[in-house]
Amino acid sequence: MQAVSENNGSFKSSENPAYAQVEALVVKLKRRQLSTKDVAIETATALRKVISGTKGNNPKKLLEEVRAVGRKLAQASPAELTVGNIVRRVLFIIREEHGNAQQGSSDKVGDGREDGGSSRSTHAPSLGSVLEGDLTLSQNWTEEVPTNFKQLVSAEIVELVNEIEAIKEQVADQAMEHVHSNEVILTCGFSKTTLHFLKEVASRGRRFEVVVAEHAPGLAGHDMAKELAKAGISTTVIPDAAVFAIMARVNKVIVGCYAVMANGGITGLTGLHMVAMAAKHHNVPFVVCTGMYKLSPVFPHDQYSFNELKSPAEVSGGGQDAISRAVRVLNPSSDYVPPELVGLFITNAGGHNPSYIYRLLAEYYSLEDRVL
Amino acid sequence: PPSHACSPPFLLFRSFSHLSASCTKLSTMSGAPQESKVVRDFKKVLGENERGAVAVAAIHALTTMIKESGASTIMELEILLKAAQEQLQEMNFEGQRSKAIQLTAACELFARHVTRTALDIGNFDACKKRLIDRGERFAAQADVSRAVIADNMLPFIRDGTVMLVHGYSNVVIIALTKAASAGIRFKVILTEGCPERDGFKVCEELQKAGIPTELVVDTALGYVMQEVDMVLTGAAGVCESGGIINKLGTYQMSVIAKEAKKPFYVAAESYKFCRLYPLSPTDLPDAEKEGPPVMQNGVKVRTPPSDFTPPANITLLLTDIGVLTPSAVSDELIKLYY
Repeated sequence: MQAVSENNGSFKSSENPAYAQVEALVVKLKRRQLSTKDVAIETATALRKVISGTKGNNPKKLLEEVRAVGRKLAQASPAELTVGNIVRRVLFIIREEHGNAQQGSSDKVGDGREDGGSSRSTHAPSLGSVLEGDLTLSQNWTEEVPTNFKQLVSAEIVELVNEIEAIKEQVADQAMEHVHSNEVILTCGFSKTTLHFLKEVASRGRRFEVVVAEHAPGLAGHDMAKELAKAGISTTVIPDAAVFAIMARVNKVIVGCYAVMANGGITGLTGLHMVAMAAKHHNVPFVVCTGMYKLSPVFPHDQYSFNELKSPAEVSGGGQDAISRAVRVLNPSSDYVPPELVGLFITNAGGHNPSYIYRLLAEYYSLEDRVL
Repeated sequence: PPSHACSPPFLLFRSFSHLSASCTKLSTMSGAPQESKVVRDFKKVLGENERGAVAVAAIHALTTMIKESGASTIMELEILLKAAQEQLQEMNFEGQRSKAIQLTAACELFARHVTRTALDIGNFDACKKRLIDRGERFAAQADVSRAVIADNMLPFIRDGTVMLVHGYSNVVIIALTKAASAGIRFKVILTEGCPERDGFKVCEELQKAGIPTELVVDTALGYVMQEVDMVLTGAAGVCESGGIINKLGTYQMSVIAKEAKKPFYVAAESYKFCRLYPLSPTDLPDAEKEGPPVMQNGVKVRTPPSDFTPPANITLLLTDIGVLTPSAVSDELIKLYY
């Protein structure tokens, strides 16, 4: 069944066979059916199909295609920043491959271009580039790219997908350095990355305790506790309201997140900000386990920037014993935690300070793609 | 008697002092109080463009000096540049003392650029040509810088935003004007900015763009802080620690903003980054330091021109090389200098 989109900008399958997959993904995003990791992988796969399906070998046209599809996907779920991240990663890959192709061809010609030394300026503008080049860094878009350009880009995207798949293991590799014997770890709700992280430590024979905040209204903390207990870890479940009281007995808080902001803050489960403030008050380190694909080049301005309201039925219950209709029930989907409350990010690219996050942006995204 | 190994350096030293002596001679040859050509060029460019950046004028003057100099080696050029920089810094900036720090920053940036270009390009003529070419393009660059900052600032201003602005900064005025013309509806509260009282000037400029403005006295900062959504200011200089040197009153505004948990944004072009590391609000370079107190009606009156705002109080720096956290500034400087 063809999905009917509100705007008349639905893609025609005749133009690109990948559009059917894109439309299917749009529907899934609108229904909020996918977890963050699945969003990332499905977006990357869809964009890969779009690139393969685009006619011709023009990098500029590829960029525009990916951007148009990316915008549509981002609109389907504006609070899900991972979509935008993956789109920007793909755009970065295209630009990089194009840059490599250009350099490759100029090397062949063997010209004595003085700008050879400043090829580093093709990506992030810096203080050096202020005098050395144009601030509005527009690459010279040549049509001369090798015939296997699309295959190269496609291969890079496959690597990106593999990277996303491997994140759990890479984050867990660092687990032994952070969780020590007889420590009490606090976590909130259910996070697959954190679960894997803690299970890794247990599998190496280290004994520690975990306190799980149940995270109303979904009570995902209960599932987390069950999984941890299955792995032989001594687990305690507490209601969210008890977090402050328990915090005095906790050695570390380890949580996952939905997205990492450009200023080093995070968006995560509701209630995470309160947990972070309780941790700050007791001087307990607040550690976030995440993958770099969640890094987003956007700045949050307040709690509402990338938040949305979910169905109140989760809170008020349905049917006979629902809260009377005279009462308004709000069920926000996420919380913003500012960077000063976050202690450390454990990512597949190593451990990082929140104040260092802006540097990683330049490694993964181009400045021109900040606004899709 | 000096051995052979020692004598070449000894000779080199002699020839350098001879060169710098000739530089000063040139400037004093046409009469002691006359300004050097560099200073005249600088004043001319600054005078031509009212909104112009000090850095643009400085680099323009230095580029002209390179063009007209008869230097034949990089060393010579660097000595001439150093002398020119000293002459520019001796200039008296009446009433605009915060410009002095911009001048230093721009001169040092240009000197560093010369060194890097010299390292990249061996041939002196090609190097000189590149320096002149880039220096001349820089003037257009400055306008682009301000436009880029205005673009970077747009997502931070939304409908209904109330912002607090301190000090007369061209970058801030241009950015707010752009936001207003993009259709965003926001309000600006300005501080009076005694003793220069430049809050009134900023008010005028913003009202021309149709932005509703209100002015408060400087002592009303604590009173008004809970009404505003964000605080915005320019910078005379951005220090290596990520803190800023700006008009007096910026530091106390930042302290109140931090207490009230309001974001404190600084809009500054990247050529204002300078290699200073002040440790307290009074730890300022000579040009910005407080002068001797003035007697008014038998009372000793102190008027410090500027203060230093530490990086801990600053949320974000909006620059033409991107939106940076204060810790990113030293990173950028290191990338340039090493």
